[in-house]
This record gives sequence, structure tokens and C-alpha cells, in this order.
Amino acid sequence: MSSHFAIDVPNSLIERGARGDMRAFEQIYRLFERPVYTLALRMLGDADEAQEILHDAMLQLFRKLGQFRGDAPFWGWLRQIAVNEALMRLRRRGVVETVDEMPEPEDSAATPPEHQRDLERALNRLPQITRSVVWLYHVEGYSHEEIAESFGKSVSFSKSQLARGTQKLRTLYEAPLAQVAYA
Amino acid sequence: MNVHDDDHDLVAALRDLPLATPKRSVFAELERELAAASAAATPAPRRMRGAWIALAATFVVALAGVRLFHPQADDVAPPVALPSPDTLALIAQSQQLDDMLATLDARSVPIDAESAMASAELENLIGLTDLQLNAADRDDEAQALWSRRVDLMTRLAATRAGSSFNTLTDNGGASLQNASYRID
Repeated sequence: MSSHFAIDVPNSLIERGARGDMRAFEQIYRLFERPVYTLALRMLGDADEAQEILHDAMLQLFRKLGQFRGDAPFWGWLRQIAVNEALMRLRRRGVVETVDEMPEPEDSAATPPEHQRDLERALNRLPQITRSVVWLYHVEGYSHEEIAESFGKSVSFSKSQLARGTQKLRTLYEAPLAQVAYA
Repeated sequence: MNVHDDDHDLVAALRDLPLATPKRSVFAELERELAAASAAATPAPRRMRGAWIALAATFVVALAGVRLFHPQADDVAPPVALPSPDTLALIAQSQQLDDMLATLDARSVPIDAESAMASAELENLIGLTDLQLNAADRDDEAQALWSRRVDLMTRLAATRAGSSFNTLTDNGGASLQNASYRID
């Protein structure tokens, strides 16, 4: 499993959080702050909106914590909350556009290597829906069926978005960015 | 996974991308919002729990209707998604504790600072439980939350009543005196 979400959380911590213990909730928040933010950033391509998704998803988590049944990993449950929040945001936009600028990291010490920045830029040039499908499938390990259910679309939709998105990502990543004209 | 051979390197590179870090933590903001929501919920708990209490009342009326008009009640399918008898009992118990606390509040008995802090914390937790009750849509979830609410209300009543609590309950008062609550 490649997902950054795949973190084991002790049941006792979840139970304390479900009882309204803010310190337990804070520990859960700290564990998943960056995975939730990263997922939202990859799907939406906007740092401010990713921050809002982080807020909304964590608020949902706290309100629904008492409903967690423990029949699936906690991290998978939280990840689905974050995906749903991001998808709601995409649906509210009603349009699928490209974003040309990737937000630059604020801390220079945390700047990723050049090839990773190129890949992030290429990823951000994909349409949002396509980028979300590519990320959920390749990185988060979602199946086509799970993607189709989350998006309210068919399995064929997921497969075609993935095939076209992956091909386009490769083109954008490997070709010099200045020569790429993506339509 | 249906990944083309040529895509393995690309997929590996995607997975190697580092985690992004938000510009700022939103936890303090969340904590404030949740505290404000619980504070707003605590003074009027009946309003926050209105949907569940209304559902409980509906259940009682529906049950009475079944008994009046359908003597062969065994043939009638049970209502779907209505509170179970255990949940109804917890709701009733919670309402009794609400009434008991209202009586205690009306007496305006002064309490020490430590008890006041414990009371405030318990009220916050009750408010948070009410918020979670609003989001609970299954009986088993609601039952667990109502059970927690009764527990918190019992502790709050014990904290508020102090040594006089024994006189307000028919039984169990003595054990409630020893109910401990740790604020960590």
C-alpha cells in the first residue's frame, strides 16, 4: 500500500476521540494533517482550497467519530471523508479546468528535487477530474469500481480517465514544459 | 492494477512525491469552532436532541396505534429505523437527569472552583455528545451516544449536588458520590 494514509491508529485513541476528548482528537489530527492536505492538494490543485478541505474533513471526522464501526481501517474511513469533501468541492465548481501554477513550497529546506517539481507541475496541468482519478488509482490504490462509486460515474469512465490521464501525464512530464501545449 | 509496463516508472515517481505541508495548522480553529458549538448546544440540550425525542414520541404513538388497531401485532412488521426500547429508556433517563439538573440549578447552591471547572468541562462534553447525536442516523450509534450522555449527566449531577446528592435519588446516589472525572 503506497498511500500516506496507511497509519495504524490505536483503538483506545479512536474511542477517546469519539467520547469528545479533544486531546485524542488533536493526536488524530496531527497524524493525518499532511495526508489529508496532500490528497486535497493533488485533487484540487489549489493550496487555499486544500486547506479548506483539511478543515472541513477534520470537522466531519470529529462529528462522525462516534459512527466509526471498526470493520475497516480507520485511515481508509478518514480518507474517504477527505475524498468526498474534495469531490463535493469539484462538483460545486461545475467546471473542469486546468491549473498552470503549482504553489511553491514556503520552506526552501522542504523544496523537493527538480524532477519531483516537474512531475507536480505536470500533474497540475491535467484537468482536475482526470488528475483526481490518476491520483486515487495510482497512489491511493483505489479500484476502478471504488472510483466510479465515489464520482457517481461508470467503471468505463474511470478506466478512460485513467488511460488518457496517465498518457497525458507522461507526455507532460517527459516533454520540456515550454513546448507542451495541452488542450 | 492495469498499469502499462511503460507507466511503472511514472507511477513509482508519483508515489515518491513527498507529502505537502499546509501553510498553517487548522487545529486551533477547529478546537474553537467545536468549543463554541458545544457551548451553544449546552444551554438548550432539549432543542439539540429534539429530533431524537420527536422520533421516540412517534415510536410510542405508533406502538399505541398498532396495539389499538392490530391486536395480532405479531403479523405487523416492526417499524424501521425507530429507536429501540433500550434507546428509549436511555432518552427517558437523560430527560430525568435534565429535570434533576434544572432543579439543582434553581437552588443556586454555590460550588467550589474545582467543581465549577469540572462542571464546565462536563457541560462541554455533553454539548459535543449532542452534536454527535445530531449526526447519528442509526439506532446502535444513537444508543451508545445516549448512554454516554446519561453517564456524563450523572457525573454532572453528582458534581453539582455534592454531598446533598443522596437525597435527590432513590438509589445509586451513594455510588454517584464517588463518580470520578479526570480532566487531562
